[in-house]
Amino acid sequence: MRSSYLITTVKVAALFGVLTLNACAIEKVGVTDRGNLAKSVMIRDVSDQALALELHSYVSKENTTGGYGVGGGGCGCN
Amino acid sequence: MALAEVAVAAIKKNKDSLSLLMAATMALPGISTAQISDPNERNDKIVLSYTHGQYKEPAGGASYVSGGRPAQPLDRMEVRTDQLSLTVPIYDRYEIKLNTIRDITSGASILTNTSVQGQTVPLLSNATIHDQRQVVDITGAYYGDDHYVSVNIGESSENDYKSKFISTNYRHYFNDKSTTLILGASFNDDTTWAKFYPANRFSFPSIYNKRYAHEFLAGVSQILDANSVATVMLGNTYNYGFLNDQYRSATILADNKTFPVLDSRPDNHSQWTAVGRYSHYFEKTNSALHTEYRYAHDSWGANSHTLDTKWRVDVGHGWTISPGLRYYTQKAADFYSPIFSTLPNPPLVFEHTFFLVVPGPMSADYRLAGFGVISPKLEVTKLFDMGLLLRASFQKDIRKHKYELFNSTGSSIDDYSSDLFSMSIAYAF
Repeated sequence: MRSSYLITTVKVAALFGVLTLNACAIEKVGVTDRGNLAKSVMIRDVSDQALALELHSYVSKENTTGGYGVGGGGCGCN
Repeated sequence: MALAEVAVAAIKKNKDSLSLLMAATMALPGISTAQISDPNERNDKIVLSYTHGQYKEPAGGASYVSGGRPAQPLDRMEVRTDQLSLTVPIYDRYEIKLNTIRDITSGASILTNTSVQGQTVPLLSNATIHDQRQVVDITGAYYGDDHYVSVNIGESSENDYKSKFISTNYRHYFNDKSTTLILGASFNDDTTWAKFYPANRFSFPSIYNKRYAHEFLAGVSQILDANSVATVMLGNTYNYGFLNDQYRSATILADNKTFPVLDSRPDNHSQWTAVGRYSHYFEKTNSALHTEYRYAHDSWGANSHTLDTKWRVDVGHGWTISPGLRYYTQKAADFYSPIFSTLPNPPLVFEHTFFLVVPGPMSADYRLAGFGVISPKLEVTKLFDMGLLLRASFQKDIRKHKYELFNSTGSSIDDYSSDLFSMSIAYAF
């Protein structure tokens, strides 16, 4: 179990390295051309509290629990 | 002025007040602000945020309450939740945030599945569950020129569960802030115990059970062009310790008899997740399409796909409307079945005089079944010039076995739907 966990970790780290290098290779957008990116509608989630509530409802009903952020908050999973 | 500062100034100049207030209400940097590559700007004002939420699972199909007596379908779980946060800027670069959550849960929960007149049916608890979750946590953050770091520590208490947690988030900005490196890690130290059935009938070997979790996340967010941002994140969640559900049991149906067995799971659980996000701004409609895909590889075999999309539209006068749709599907865990049909090899030993002891993991928990969920949702926000933000949202989760992609073990007896409504208010002063 521990060795397969280690192998998976190495694979994921390698994949992450490739993705990071690809990100660095993209042509840069000038700072004066970023106005649209700063529009309020480009913020995906308006409220962290509402997002936390939504994610907590998924965690209590679905087996997959992570991927979007780290943190705690107990069970609440009756 | 450094180029990076020019970038920030340019963004600030173009950013409307709603962006700034919303950025200020973000408390989970690894989650929310990972979507945009500009820094999670600190608001120079104090921000007070409150959210009220209501979650309800309406009565489903035929159900049997404890004792096996046929009964009218009961309303299942209902949760009312309140969250209050206070974010205070300190000096030029620091920030502290206090957060508290209180959930009140009531209703009936599924204890197991059983066989009645040849049919497998869920066995619900009577509507006796009444639980309260209280969370208190504090976050300290530092906003550097090219990086952001925060530490969060907190505690959560329930009638049968206590959790202590600590997490840290770090972001580093490259390429004039076109690229953001996202890192996060957390550790949970939890204690769980049985508050009612079956603990009030049987004494467990250990009343208090420990479980631990550590989690890490690494990602990159990248501005692709003047209208698009993409983010990829990879993460792992590793739980170990007592991972059983102390209230649930499974049922073996053999020789026309039913044998109850306690819910039993492996004592470790690893999940790898890969998340891809893409957001695109449409100038003609002053709107943005946010799409997100997540794949999870699960050591219990319950792999999953999640597709989530949201279209945020600015309709003017401070109003935004955001319809969305989410689809989630998971494969059944390797040791899940709604009802089991094979008795383990002898010896047949009974635990606590009632439950059959079985070798290996065995669970009938509907959360480990194969299923799919379709969730339409709608969110509306309104910003007032005085710095007040109002928000309301509603979503319906429709869970069905036939929505599953993997074609694994599952049953329509676990089909149900739920409603989630929430409203928020945030004020900067």
